[in-house]
Parts: sequence; C-alpha cells; structure tokens
Amino acid sequence: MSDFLIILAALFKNKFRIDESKSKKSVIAFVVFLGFAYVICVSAFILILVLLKDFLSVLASSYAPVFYFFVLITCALIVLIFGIIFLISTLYLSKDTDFFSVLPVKSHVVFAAKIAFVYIIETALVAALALPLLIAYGIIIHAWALYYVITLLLIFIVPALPLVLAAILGIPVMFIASKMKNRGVVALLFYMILFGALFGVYIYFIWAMSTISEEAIYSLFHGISAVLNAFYPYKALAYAACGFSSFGLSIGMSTVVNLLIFIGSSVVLVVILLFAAKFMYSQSVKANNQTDNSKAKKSEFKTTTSFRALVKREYLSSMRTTQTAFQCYFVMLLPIIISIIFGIMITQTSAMFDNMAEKGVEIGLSESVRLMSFCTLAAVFASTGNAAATTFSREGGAIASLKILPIGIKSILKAKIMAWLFLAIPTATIAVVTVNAFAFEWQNFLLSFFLLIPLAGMFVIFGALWDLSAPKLKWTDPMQAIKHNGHVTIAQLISLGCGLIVLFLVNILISNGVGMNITAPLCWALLYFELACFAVINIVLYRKCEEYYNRIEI
Amino acid sequence: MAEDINKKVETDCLLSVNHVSMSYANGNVKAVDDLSFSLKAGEIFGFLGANGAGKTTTIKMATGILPVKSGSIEICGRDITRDPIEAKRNFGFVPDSPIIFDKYTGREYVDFLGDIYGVSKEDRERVSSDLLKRFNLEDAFDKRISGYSHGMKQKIAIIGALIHSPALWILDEPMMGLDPQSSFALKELMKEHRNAGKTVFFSTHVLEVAEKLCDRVAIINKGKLVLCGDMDEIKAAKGDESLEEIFLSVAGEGNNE
Repeated sequence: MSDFLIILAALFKNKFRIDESKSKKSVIAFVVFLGFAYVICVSAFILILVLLKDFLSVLASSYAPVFYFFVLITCALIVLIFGIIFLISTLYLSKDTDFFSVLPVKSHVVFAAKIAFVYIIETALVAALALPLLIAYGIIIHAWALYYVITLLLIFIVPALPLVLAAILGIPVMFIASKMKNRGVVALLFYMILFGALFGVYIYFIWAMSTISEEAIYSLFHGISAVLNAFYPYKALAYAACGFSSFGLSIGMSTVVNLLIFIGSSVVLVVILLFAAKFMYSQSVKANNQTDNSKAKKSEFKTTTSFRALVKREYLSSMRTTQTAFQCYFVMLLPIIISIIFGIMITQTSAMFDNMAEKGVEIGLSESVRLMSFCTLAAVFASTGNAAATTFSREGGAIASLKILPIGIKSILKAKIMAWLFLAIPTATIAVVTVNAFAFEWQNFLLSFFLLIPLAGMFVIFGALWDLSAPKLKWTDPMQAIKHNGHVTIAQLISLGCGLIVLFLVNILISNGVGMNITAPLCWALLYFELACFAVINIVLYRKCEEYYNRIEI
Repeated sequence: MAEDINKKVETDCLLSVNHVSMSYANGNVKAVDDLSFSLKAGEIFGFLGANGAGKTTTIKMATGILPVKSGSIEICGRDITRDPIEAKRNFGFVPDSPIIFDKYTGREYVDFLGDIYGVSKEDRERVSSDLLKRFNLEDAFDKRISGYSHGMKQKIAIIGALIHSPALWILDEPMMGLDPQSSFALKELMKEHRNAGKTVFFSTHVLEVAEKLCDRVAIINKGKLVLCGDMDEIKAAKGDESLEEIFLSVAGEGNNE
C-alpha cells in the first residue's frame, strides 16, 4: 500500500475508531440507532416530496431545476459551515502534525491524505443528504435517464465549491490564531461568532417576515437570489441533470455546455482548494516548530480556602482546554437560544390569534403554545448540566492526584457541583425570564420559575453524580472524555424524553378538545413530578458517592 | 499547617503495611501478596523490585489511589481506609508519571496544594523559593505545566509534594527523567528530609542510588516481600555482595512485566 493510502487509512481509523471501553452490543446499538434516525429523517423528507407530488409535477414542466438547485445549495451551506471547522481542525489545529513530521513520508503526501480525508467525508455527507432526495425527485418528475447518471456521477464534486469558500474564510482565522499563544481559543471564538451570526440571521428573518412590507420581502429575496448566483456551477448542474435548455441552445448542446461549466469550474475550484489547504497545512507545520521562549510574567502566591481552590480549579481546567471550554460553556447557551425562539413564536402566534379573534375566528391556542414552550425548555435544560456530567471524566489520569489529597469526595463533589451551579442557575434564570418576558403572566412565570431553575440545578447535580459512578478516565485527548460520553447523553435523553412526552400529551389533549383548565395543571404536575424524581435519584446517588469514589482505580 | 502536621507525628512508625494483598483480573493476577513492612521516623527506605513486581500497586494503595481490599495500611498511626483524610495530611507523594494538573502554571499548582493543605503564604514562598532554586525552575514557575518537559513536571511534582513539609515523603521512581544536577539535588533533599527526623519512602530500579542512599531496603518479587532490612546487615548476611548481586539473587528470575 502506498504511503498516501496508509496515512489516509490511519486518519479514518483515528476518526472513527471505536472506544475500547464500549461493549460490542452498545456499539451495534449506537450504529443501529444512527441508521434508524437517518432512515426516519430521509423517509420524512421523501414523504413530503410524495405529498407534494402533484405540485412538483406541475412545477417540473417549467421550473424542474429549481428544486434540484435548492437541494444542492442546502448541502453546500452545510458543507460550508461544518467544512470551515473541519478544515481548520484537520489541517491547522491538528495534533498529529508533529507525529507525521517525523515519519519518513514526504509532507505533500501527508497533506494530500489529509485533504482527501476532508473531501471524502464531506462528499459522503453530501451524498447521504442529497442522493435519496434527488432520486425521489427524479422519479416524481419522471426525469430522463441521464438525470440519474449525472446525479450519481457528479455528486462527488459538489463539495468543491463550499470547501474553497471554507478554506478562504478559514485563512484569516488561521492568521489571527498564529499571532496568539493559544491557537485553540481563536478557533473557539470563531466558531462562536459563526454560530452566533447564523442564529442572528435566523432571528432577523423571523422578525423581518412579520414586520416588513411585501415589497421589502420581495427585494430581500431578490438580493438572496443574487447571492445565490455565486453558486452558478450548481445551477448549471441542475439545468444539465433536468435536461433544461439554456443559452438558447438545444437540450443536448445545453446539457453538454452546462456539464462542462460545472466540471470545469469544479476542477478550477479543486485546484484553488489544494493551494489554500496546502498553505494552511504549511502554516500549521511552521506554528508547531515554534518554541515558546517568551518570559512568563511573574505572579504571586494567593491563599484561599480549600473549597474555593477546588472551585477555581474546576473553572481553570475546563477553560484552558479549548475543546472542553466549548463543550462546557457554549452548550449552556442552548436554553437561552430556545427561550428566544419560543419567545418570538409566542409573540407571533399571539398576534396572529388576536388578529383572527378580531375577525371573529376564536382559536385560543396561544396559551397552548406558551405551555409547549415550557415543555420544550424543560426538554433541553439538561444541557445546563453538560459540564458537570463530564467533570470526573475530564480529570483523566489526574484523578490520581486528586485522590491523594486530604479532601473527602463529598467536599470535592460539592466544589464541582457549586462551580457549575454558579453558571447553570443564572443561565436558567435568563432563559425563564426571557421566555416569560415575551408574554408575561404571573401564574406561568412563578410556575416556570420554581420548576425550571431547580430543574437546571438537578441536572447539574445528577450529571456530576452519574459521572462519578463510572467516569471515563482512559483518554489521551481531553475531547475523548466528552465525545460519546454516555453520562452526557443519558441526562439529555431523559430530559428530552420527559419534555417530549409531556409535549405529546398536551397536543393530544388539546386536539381532543380538552380545555386548558385541565391540560395546563396536568402538564405542570407532570413536569414537577420529573423534578421530584430527579431529586430522589440525586439523593440515592449522593449516598453512594464514597463507594463510587473508592472504586475508581487508575 | 505544616507545623501542625509535624506535631501530629507522635508515633515512631510512619508507614505500616500489614498483610496487604491485591489482585487484578478477577483475582487471577496477584499484584501484591500478603505484604508487610514498616517504616520508622528518620530513615530513607528503598522499595526495590523488577518491573511488575508490585511496587507501584503498593504505593498506590498506601497513598489512597487504590483501595486496600485485604490487610491494612497506616500512615502516622492513621488507617488509610478508615481515616483517609488525616492519613493523607501526613504524606507528600511524587508519582512515577507526573500526571498533575497541567492546565495550571507551576505557581498555581503549588498554590492549589497550599490551599488544600492549609499552608501559609509565607511558608509557600519559603519552601518553593528554596526548591525552585535547587531545581533551576524559577523561569518556568509562572508558565503552564502543559508546556513543561517530563523532568520539569517531575520537579514541580516534587515541590508540590513538599510544600506542606510532610512527615512522610513517598516517591515512585523519582529519578526518571531528571537531569544529573536535579537528580543530585533530589538525593540531597531526601537526605535533608531524613536528617530532619522525617521519612523518605521511594521505589527505584536504580540499585546504585538505593545502595548509596538508603538506610533500609525492601525487595519484592511477584508481590511478595523477599528481603527487608538494614542495608549493612543485609550485605553482611549475604557476604558483602553488592546490592545488585543481592537483588539478582533474590529477585532476578522469572520476572515479567
């Protein structure tokens, strides 16, 4: 096997290796779950296409490439967003640069394997997302045979365009990072800005749709279509696949010209991508070869209590590793984001229902939307306990250094829980106040306040205790302590499950004409029951904490 | 606080290992087998054995990292299982692979341990400035431990272990990764610790170091104690052989990792 293939295989093995501590059954269950979730999602989309069959068939006669283009653009946006992160982490912030540097392999072979690795994964992502939809669409619109041939053969060059854009966007980030001591922090900030911007754009569109005039919406969409022209190669591919004529040519000639445009531009883009990625990789090698000769600023000893020292340690150790900082702090924002989305939804539905009521149509659903928002918040509140849920796993081998200290596990546990409660409680409070502020009502405010804030606390305590019961300590990279850590997912699954069950029940009751005077108290009672269950579980786990700590063996 | 710890050492026996056993792999592999020995105040005690003989397992049990499932271990009269907090106050530990809190700077690490053991700011300044000078680590003290070399991590672990002036100083393979100057400084420190009436308990492969430094040694093989006693007495009993020859004669065969 050539060096290129050996390195490529190593990169894949490293990315998709199965955790040794996991049983074969749990791995199979996880793969089956993933496959099942994928089939469900794709089936849902295909079902929508089938339901829209008549509409799409009519549309196909004059606008067949539009849907094709829409699917490609959606895939491109997904590749663009995740491609930036993936490219930077694989080519620039990768920890294996030193490892590969000492191997008797030319650097361009390593680079080629890395770029191939990124490209193959992105192509697989595009194929998994787009192919089922495009094939279903082809069947619905009775597309010609060439449609399937073109789609199957050319899907693998679809990621070229967004990856070039990702590389171009990634280069300035890399430059700023190279000037900083901690390159990871810059990447973390960039990811936060990227997701913040996307969320901001989403919120803007929701607001804009309800507030601006029809003319303004038209000009907005006009502007968007102008931006989409930057993705012209996809338009060419859509025209070629759907057998649509353009440039005043016959269908045959137009297809050939459009295919040439798509393939030609993709080849140029791949070449640009190679240059940009090569530059990124060489910068990474350069940055890794630089040694830190800077003189550290002289500090002073500061005394504090052992409890405060443990709390401070929890923050320092989580913040000074970029990946763990992202997982511990960024995920905490989820309830706030959900509360803003629901707040806007409540405002809009209330306005809509009020408007309808003025016209004599009584729906009375605004209260149910408000109730659903609380159920959804309860469902996602487990994210406030994410950091606590890996607090012992993140210690790794250093837990031995903790075990030799003259501090009992109860003190350590209290310090860890307190550290994350300091963040979880304000986060939960902001989320509760936000969701209530959009349509304030004392009863709902008090009920949600005394439910959701203690619930956030319960998730923090449960996370820490559950992690202590069997921490994942054998890792070489801190990310392994968090990635696929069952202690994080179990709380999320329980929380999500409870929230969704109550949500489902509310929907059934409302759709069967049961009044809010019964539905609302029942919903709140169930959510408070969830809170009580977690309190009981936490007490049981806390009583066993010494046993759990003693059985940890390094 | 460091002063208090020294006052608490009323017993002559600083470490007492009584019939301790430990098995791995569901009892199929015996790492430590009915091990018993004790350490007196004011001695350097060498714990010798081939790879996989059970040295690190014994030390991990003595320091509370591993539970003592059979037998008992006392530190300054405090049982490590029944009274772990008080037992742990009396020792400082330097592990074989210094997996310490590497997100900290050296100073933050020492500060953290100072807070845990209740060491005053003045004592932290005094102890650390002396040790930093000895180990030539002053320039790196305010840098992150994650950027330290193996030897530097070992040195900061030593400083951390001594910040509360423990009565018992436990070291697991302490010479590994240290440069000659630091190795010399460490040996001098061990002697000073002993001369102050305290005890040093360390495991090592380097028999020359043990021979020159230790007052007493224990040799274990496959988890069992095969030899324990005063260095001079052992040599006399074995006909003045070198420690290396004695070691090979009692523990030289059939050792596997």
